[in-house]
Amino acid sequence: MRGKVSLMAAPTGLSPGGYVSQAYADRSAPRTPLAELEAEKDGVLWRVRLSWACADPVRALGDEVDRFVDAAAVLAPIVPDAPWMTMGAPGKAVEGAMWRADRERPFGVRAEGLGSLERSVAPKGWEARAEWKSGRWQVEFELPGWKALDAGRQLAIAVWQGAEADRGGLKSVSAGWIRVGT
Amino acid sequence: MASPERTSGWQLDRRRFLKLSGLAAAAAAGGLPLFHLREEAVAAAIADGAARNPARLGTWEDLYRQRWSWDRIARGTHGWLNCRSACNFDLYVKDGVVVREEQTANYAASEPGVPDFNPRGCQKGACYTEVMYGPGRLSVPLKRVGERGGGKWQQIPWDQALAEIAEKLVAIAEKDGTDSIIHDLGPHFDHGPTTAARGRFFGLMGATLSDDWAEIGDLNHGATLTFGFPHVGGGSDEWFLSDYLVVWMMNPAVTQIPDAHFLFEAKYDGAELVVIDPQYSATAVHADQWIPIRPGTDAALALATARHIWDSGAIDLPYVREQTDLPILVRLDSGRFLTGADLRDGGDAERVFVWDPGGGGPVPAPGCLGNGEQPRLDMGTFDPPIEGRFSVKLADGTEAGVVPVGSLLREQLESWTFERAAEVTGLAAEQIEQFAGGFARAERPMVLSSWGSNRFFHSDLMNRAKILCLSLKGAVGRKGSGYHSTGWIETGGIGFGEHTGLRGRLALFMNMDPGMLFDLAVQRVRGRISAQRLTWELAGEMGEDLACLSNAASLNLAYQGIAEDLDREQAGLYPRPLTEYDREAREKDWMPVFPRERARAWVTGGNNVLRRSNLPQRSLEHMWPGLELIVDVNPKFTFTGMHADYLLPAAGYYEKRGIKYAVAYIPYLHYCDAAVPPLGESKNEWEIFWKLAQEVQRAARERGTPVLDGCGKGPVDLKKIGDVFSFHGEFGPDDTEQVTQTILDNAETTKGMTVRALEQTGVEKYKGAGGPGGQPQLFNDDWKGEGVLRACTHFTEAKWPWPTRTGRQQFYVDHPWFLEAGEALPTHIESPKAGGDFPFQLISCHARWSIHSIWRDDPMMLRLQRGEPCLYLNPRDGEKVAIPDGEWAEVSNRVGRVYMRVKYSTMVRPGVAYYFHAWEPYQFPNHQSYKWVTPGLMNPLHFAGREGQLRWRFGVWEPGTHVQDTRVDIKPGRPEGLAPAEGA
Amino acid sequence: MAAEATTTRQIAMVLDLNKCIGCQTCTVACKKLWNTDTGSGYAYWNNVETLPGAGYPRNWTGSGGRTATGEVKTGKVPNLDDEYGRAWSFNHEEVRARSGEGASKPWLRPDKPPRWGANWDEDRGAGDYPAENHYFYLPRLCNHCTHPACLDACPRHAIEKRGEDGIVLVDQDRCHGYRFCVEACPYKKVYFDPQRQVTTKCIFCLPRLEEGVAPACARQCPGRLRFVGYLDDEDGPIWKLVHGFGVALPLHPEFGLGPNVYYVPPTGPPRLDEKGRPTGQPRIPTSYLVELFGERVHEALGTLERERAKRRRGEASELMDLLIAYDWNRSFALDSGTREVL
Repeated sequence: MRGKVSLMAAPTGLSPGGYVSQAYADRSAPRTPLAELEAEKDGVLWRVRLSWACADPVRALGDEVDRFVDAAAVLAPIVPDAPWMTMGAPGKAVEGAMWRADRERPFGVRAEGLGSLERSVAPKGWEARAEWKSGRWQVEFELPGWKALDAGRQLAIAVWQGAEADRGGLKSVSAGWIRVGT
Repeated sequence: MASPERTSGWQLDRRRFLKLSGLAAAAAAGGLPLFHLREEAVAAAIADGAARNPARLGTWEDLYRQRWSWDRIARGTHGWLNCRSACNFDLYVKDGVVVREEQTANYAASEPGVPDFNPRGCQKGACYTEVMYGPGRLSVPLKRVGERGGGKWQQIPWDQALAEIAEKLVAIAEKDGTDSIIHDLGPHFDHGPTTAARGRFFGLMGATLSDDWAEIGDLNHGATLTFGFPHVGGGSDEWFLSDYLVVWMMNPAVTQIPDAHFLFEAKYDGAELVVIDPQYSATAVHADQWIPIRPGTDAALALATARHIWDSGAIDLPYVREQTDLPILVRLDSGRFLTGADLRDGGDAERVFVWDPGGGGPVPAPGCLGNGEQPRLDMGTFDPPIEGRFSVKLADGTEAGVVPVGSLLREQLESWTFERAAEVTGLAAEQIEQFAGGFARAERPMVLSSWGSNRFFHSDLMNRAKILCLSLKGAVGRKGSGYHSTGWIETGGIGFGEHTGLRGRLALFMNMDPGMLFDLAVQRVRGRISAQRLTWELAGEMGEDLACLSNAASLNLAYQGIAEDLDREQAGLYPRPLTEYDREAREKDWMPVFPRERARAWVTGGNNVLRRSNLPQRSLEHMWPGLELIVDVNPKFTFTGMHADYLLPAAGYYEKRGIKYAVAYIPYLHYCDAAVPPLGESKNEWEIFWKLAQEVQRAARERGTPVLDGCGKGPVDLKKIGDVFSFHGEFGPDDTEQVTQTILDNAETTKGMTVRALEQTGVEKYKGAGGPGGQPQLFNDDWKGEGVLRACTHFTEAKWPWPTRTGRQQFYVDHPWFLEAGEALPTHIESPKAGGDFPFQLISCHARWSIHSIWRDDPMMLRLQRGEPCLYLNPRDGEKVAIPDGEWAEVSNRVGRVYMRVKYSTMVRPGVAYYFHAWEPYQFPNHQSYKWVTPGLMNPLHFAGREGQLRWRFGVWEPGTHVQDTRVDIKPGRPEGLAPAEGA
Repeated sequence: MAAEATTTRQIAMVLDLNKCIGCQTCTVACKKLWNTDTGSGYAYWNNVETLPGAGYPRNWTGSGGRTATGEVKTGKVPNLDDEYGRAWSFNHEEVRARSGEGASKPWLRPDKPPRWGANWDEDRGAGDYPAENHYFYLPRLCNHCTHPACLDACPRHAIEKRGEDGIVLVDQDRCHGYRFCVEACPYKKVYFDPQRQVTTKCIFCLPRLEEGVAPACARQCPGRLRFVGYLDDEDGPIWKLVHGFGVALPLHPEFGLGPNVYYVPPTGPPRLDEKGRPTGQPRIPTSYLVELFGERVHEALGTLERERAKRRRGEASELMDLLIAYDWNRSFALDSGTREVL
């Protein structure tokens, strides 16, 4: 598939703990309102291309402590009814890959609910290539053997604008699972 | 970038340093008990093998556990550091590297009811490892390539370095005399093998030792004039016992960090804490009374206080009659003491008198210099008056009016009302009255006065007046009260060396063997002579007759090129120009000056003379070009080292055995173990000087160097120096353990201590305070390691005379120079305006963040400051001179111009600019520090000699320099070489 | 919060500000033990600041915590140059290699012109000299709060308040470096390590505590002003100073987090009047101390003065004995080692 995806701000009200939900209660406008998504399967290889406008790319933390890097993730449900907005739920995991501008390889990620995200070394062969050009990030994931997507044929995306202090639950996400065709 | 020919050690990065060190490290674990673990069970669990290395890394918490782990713990201290504190530290060794250090804290309380000394230490001692492995470390021998000071160095092998230096030393000694070779002390001296080696080598060489005690401004001339010695006081826990603690020209919260707690604990115990300081110092913030005195007017405050003590009846008359010169008679016609020679032809001019009210005539004062028959101060049954006016019949038949010193003193004090003192000091009379009232009412008043209290031109007057307040109260030499100006405990040396020649004795400097002193005493004593005369004669034997010792101020005046500056700066302050006083003192042989003719070599051991002396621009211009050899033996790359010819890397503090010098604040000997081998190619000084002695011997033999006449005080045979240095093979280059043990064996205060035991404990309490005879002494014959250590009981309890002309605490100095200058009695004289009449007084303070220049350029320490030297201004002054906080100031006067960044602080008195000292000149634009604008006045009266306590002795009486009178202009001004973008 | 329910004992520290001399041995002791890696160069789990002053990080109060009515206040992550102070590098090699090159010779200084540092306003203070200028030192570390804002801020549950001693820890494995804890902590005592990309904070010297050894900042303090022990140990110094005599107060109690580090408030010499005469008035405005330690500061200062007066009269005072710390080892009332040494 290929198309534009409107993103929303992930609802901070759901965030575990007392701070984020209150401190960022007003963060309802997505820092990245729109993304372009292209997903295609080539044999066992899933190729997912993601692109969004980013005026002020943050590629690395450097030595800074108040800087956040740009990132993006594509996730798929392990079971068909795993909820997206809460990053899955206990027993209903979501998994996928996360690209971060300061890393060569993507993380493999998996979660069963908010605050439960586990990062791991991505499966063998999983890659993410990124380029920032003309005010846009273009990230291409190569995710061979991604069974969850093979099985469910739906994914969701999340984008973090470092310059906007996006991190964790402060992110722009697709409103729900996006079908990626047959 | 480094030029290609430089292959020096400081180019090695830290990782390489650590690797080098680690490769060389001995892996053996020591099996040391862990004193810092309070619970016996824990200590027992860990003690076996001592290592603590969590092997498991199962959880993230284990990462933290791993950081607090070690292979072994050695005991150490910062033994070569010129710091008046001594603190026992555990050195944590891991993979051959000392990774961190932490106080051992194994001291006991001196007696019940007094807090213990634990844990001692400061932020600097807690990170010496940063300096040890830091970017300022020197770790390979370097030889200058190209221009001196040009910054180009070549790494050379030790053998080559020592051979070249030895050959130059021998050639210079032959050509220009051994005394044309100068060495000096200063930072990096201890009481162990390092200083023993350095002193022994240069002593055998017949080289000049520049005694810079007074020159750096540390010598308490006021105390020497009054007591006969400058270093007074016992343990810092004695502070706790006072009920009226007066911190007067000292800032223990910054300069005596491990001891400061006793002040605040004394407050909790009911004492009143008074801080007299123009600066609202870190000590003052905790005071009950802060007295913001105008700089340099302390004598006025003291005189008003003394007057109040006298007038309010708080004077301790029995004490004053016995222990001070107040009853001693003075001739009204000459102003001099009435002496035996006045009363009888052939009478003893050293004998002074008191008035016997019963007999109605003068009687010899017990204990005075010329009264061997009454060696002690007991007055017996009569009370000599301290006031009155009497008439005596002189030997020539004429009558002369005489008065006790007390009368003159009372008259002197008369005008010092609270109101007059208020006018001079800038204080409110009410505040002075409150202070003086508290002083007069106190049972145990105590005055703490640091070495830094001696840096005004007229500091001697200030300290004499401060002591007067105490003495009138009978406080000096009484437990929990008196004067604390930092006492020393006597330690041992390594013995004579060559008994056949005189030169060996020089090596004993600061390492005297008391047994040797006793021998000298036996040889010397012919019948009964007074104790102070014996002491002086011993000192004379050691210093004047044998040593090529020179006071540094006289040396500077002769060679540095500052005579003209000082004559100009001091014009009109005394009846004659400074250089005239100097000339007279030399003619009369009052002050020894070496080298006699020319200076040809300077071998420094961390003294960093170009960093610390005043007007270094004169040294660089006048003296440096004439030096054929400059060597710095140092673990640190210093500013002086930058201008040297050879840099020899000395082992760091944790890399060699040593004994920390013995200041009485903490009456424990502190041993420093070699926790790891010397870093890189560095070596301990014992080995360096041992090998250098062999090289000098070889060179002298090859050249056929004749026996030289030394500095005019005896023969020097350089062809034997290597054999003599090693005690004919008794001590080898690696024998620092035996040398250390010998030093311990050689003093009563350390007898019975063993290196092996000290390796386990790090500290051991001294077994005594040292006997009379040695210069470092506390005059406490009874203290044997038990109870709070206090000073001066030798006089006040055992009634032995004070080592002064009158045998008493002396407030009247009848030397003709003092009479002529109007300084026979303590008085107040305004601080002269050194450098010109400019609006700011530039005042130097010792720093919280460094011990002299050590730690000054250490990144960890600099990050906790502002990274660069700062000039402290009151914010209102900062606004007045239009220099915002953090911006650059041009600081100038008629001797120089330098640049510093301004820091605002409300602790600063308007009109004063403070700096906290010992920044390396290379930390300033143009490599010019505040020293470039500091003339460093020399008080000409301190050149007086050969009369009573006014007698040149190492670190006791000699001229020095005074920096606090410096005046500067402060304007906005940016140094050259600053990028335009660098606003602040 | 769950953490509260499971905390059975609380370790605590008391710092007597009347003995603090600003020597920063605590700062260095902590630094050398825990924060010598590249990413933690700027970080001081323990720092000492001069008050009144902007502190470290600069103007740290007011960022994070809660309002008086319990509303969360949004905090911010401080900036290295302007708020924390960067761990500057220095040009030692350049300086030495070019020492002879005339007016343009480089001098030793930070690689970047410094704008702030961990001790930037050391000894600055406030007020006009000599009548009312004043300052004092305030050592700060994590308060191991009863209601930790950092714990509340972490969406990943990476922050734990330990049941056995109430120590607040950041799980270095779970932390993803989001820094909500850095924002939320009103004391600004959680630090982000940009190298490891996790946050770190004071661990109350956990490995030492496990063996009955006091934290480095406390044990290495030459001013002897720190007491360590359990809040419920009525024989220990903490209970006596905090509850018994009530002279040790939490910093900014109004943040509502229940800090477990307590301070004996500072006193100083009296103010002078316009003619330089001593007044009976405190040099440090009591209102300022109330801002820091709350209204109870009046009572604490009164108790200190009353007890000291007893001692001046030669009477006994347990409080003064305690603060004198005659036997320094007794300042630390800890369990003996509980963990087997590996």
